[in-house]
Amino acid sequence: MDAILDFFGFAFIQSQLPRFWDGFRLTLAISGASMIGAVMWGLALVGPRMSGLPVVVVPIVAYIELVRNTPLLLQIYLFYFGLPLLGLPLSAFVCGVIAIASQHGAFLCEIYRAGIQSISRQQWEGALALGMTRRKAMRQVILPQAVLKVVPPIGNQLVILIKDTSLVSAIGIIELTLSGKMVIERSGASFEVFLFIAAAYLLLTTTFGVVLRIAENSLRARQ
Amino acid sequence: MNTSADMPMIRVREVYKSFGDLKVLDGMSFDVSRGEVLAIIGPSGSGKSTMLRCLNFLEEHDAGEIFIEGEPLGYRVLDDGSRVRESEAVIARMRCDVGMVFQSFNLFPHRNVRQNITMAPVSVKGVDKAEANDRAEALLEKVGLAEKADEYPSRLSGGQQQRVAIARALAMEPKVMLFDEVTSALDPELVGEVLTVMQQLAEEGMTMVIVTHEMQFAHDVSDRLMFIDRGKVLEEGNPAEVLNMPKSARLKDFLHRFSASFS
Amino acid sequence: MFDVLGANLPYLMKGAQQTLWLAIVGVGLGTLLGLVLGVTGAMVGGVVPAIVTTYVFVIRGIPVLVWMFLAYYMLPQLGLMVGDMTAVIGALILYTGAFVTEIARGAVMAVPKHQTEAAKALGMRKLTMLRLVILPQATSLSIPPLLNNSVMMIKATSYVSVVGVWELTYAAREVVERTLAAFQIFLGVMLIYFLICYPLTLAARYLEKRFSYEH
Repeated sequence: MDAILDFFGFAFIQSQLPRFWDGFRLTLAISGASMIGAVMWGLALVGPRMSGLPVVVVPIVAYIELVRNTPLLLQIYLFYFGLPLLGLPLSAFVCGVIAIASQHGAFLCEIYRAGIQSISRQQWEGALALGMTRRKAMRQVILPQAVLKVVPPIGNQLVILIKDTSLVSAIGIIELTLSGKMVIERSGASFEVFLFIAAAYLLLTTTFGVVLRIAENSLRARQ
Repeated sequence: MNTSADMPMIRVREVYKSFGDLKVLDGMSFDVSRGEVLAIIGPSGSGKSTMLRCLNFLEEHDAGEIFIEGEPLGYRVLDDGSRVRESEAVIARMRCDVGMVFQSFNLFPHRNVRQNITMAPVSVKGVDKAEANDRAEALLEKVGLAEKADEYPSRLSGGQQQRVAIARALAMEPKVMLFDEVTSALDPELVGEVLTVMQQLAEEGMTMVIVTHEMQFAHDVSDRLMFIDRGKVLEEGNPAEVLNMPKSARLKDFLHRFSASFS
Repeated sequence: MFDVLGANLPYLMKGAQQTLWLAIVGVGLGTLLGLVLGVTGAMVGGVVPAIVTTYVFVIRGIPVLVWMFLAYYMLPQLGLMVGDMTAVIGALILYTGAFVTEIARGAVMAVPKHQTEAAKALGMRKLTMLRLVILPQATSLSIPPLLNNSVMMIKATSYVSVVGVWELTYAAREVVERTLAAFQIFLGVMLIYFLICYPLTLAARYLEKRFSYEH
């Protein structure tokens, strides 16, 4: 039995657990910070995006389209290598979080917008016909429906965000992915290390997905 | 072995079918002879549509036997009583003899009317394309839609779509036609054009099984009428007799609710 | 003002060529793989759907960069003496395949049941039904998401630079490390990616809209 475990390098992986644990916690921290940033950034964008004022809408649309149609990795590089040139030598962690939040915020803005637009005019009219004020209609009729509609796509987006945190390994943040690479390169360990890393990510994204589904169901049940 | 001419076109023997705990067909038995028009009526949920769908194996019966011209449909019962499911090829071949028209038309939206009609004859029966086209033209003429051959289904009214669906089924030259509440999804003013086509088919001697809510039509067109409730045949016989002199309380009650439309 | 970018443009364009090649091979073959798996998973019974679902679940739950590292370290150790390039392309194919599987399966399942019933009632067998009724209808449903997926994967080809495979993003980093002109080079290279990706995004949006009008 020990021989088999040894063949798969379990004993070795076990000896490296503290390093992976550090990396995993960093992945969690970047994911958490970027998620909060992305959700807020998307909310900040969606109002102006839907304002109908060309001076506001055109630059925002240009920004969203650019960010959505170029690789996140380049955006991370841009912040990491570019900000110091502007006299803003922010840490790699902050640069990574800003870049991730910026791209995913742009995607989330479009998701919010689709959710709000999907609530039909009939719903507005129905609510107003019942004598509700616009404010009441928004709070009691439109938003509850919009929220239910956008929760699943937001969840999908945030799962992609978690996976995208692996890219900050490219600017030297020793999160989960880079911790695996470093263990391999420093100790000459074999590829099983990355099977372990992969399993850790699978566990993380799956757990997050399950939590989201539970939250979604309880939201649905409450309404 | 009887020759096929002696056989009833359809023979249903002790057919049972459940969806989960719900018993839908509870020992159905009946025959349909060659050239006969059988109308099946009954309240919704009575099992009449399920019975019809069993006749071309879109629904698979749990027990009992169904024969089309003496050939067992879907399952073969062995001497020891066990059932063997027929191969997909055999089932598909038997379906060629049993045309079906659906409540919701089910035309293929990505093909025009002519292609809807020629698709199955060409790809399933290997009919020559030119021949299939000629036949499609003739069938469209027959259902009164010769000028719509190049239209796409979404451009047709419900009544026109349903007539195309009838032409599509006829193109396979079936021995039996099944009609599953084919006018229920139509606006009232479009029902007549579809019923006219069906009546014409009946007069030409097509063997037909019609599930319908159109009592007057069932009365006028069918040779025999069957009232089904809770998966069982409650009454059957001459349509005028069954409709005018219902014996069971259930049929009386059922007809009472239709009295507004039936005279 | 854009002198550094101009001077290095030929080098970057060579990188762009490599990126396009990665995209065509990786995303193209991955899309083929996904189409086959997705349609099979939707049409065949038995254990096949479960296997397909597991494949999609495992691949999509893990970052593509991790798959690239895994392929990069694993294949040589398994005795497959393939180059770095082959390893990362393998990862791109597997990853694209998983997403396309979901798209294809979804599109096949989205063809209404009454369509397959009508086909069955006309005596069609599975393959005929697939060819004449299901695939033509599923195709128009799946093209916009397939295009969007291609954009996502073209962007992901840049990740191979992290594993050490040379292409546009790798070239950009080289130039920046040499010239320190981070803004010029990275923004210029972003523009190159944008020119590749944006037409696909626009095409997807247009087709989606046209499709929703038709129905």
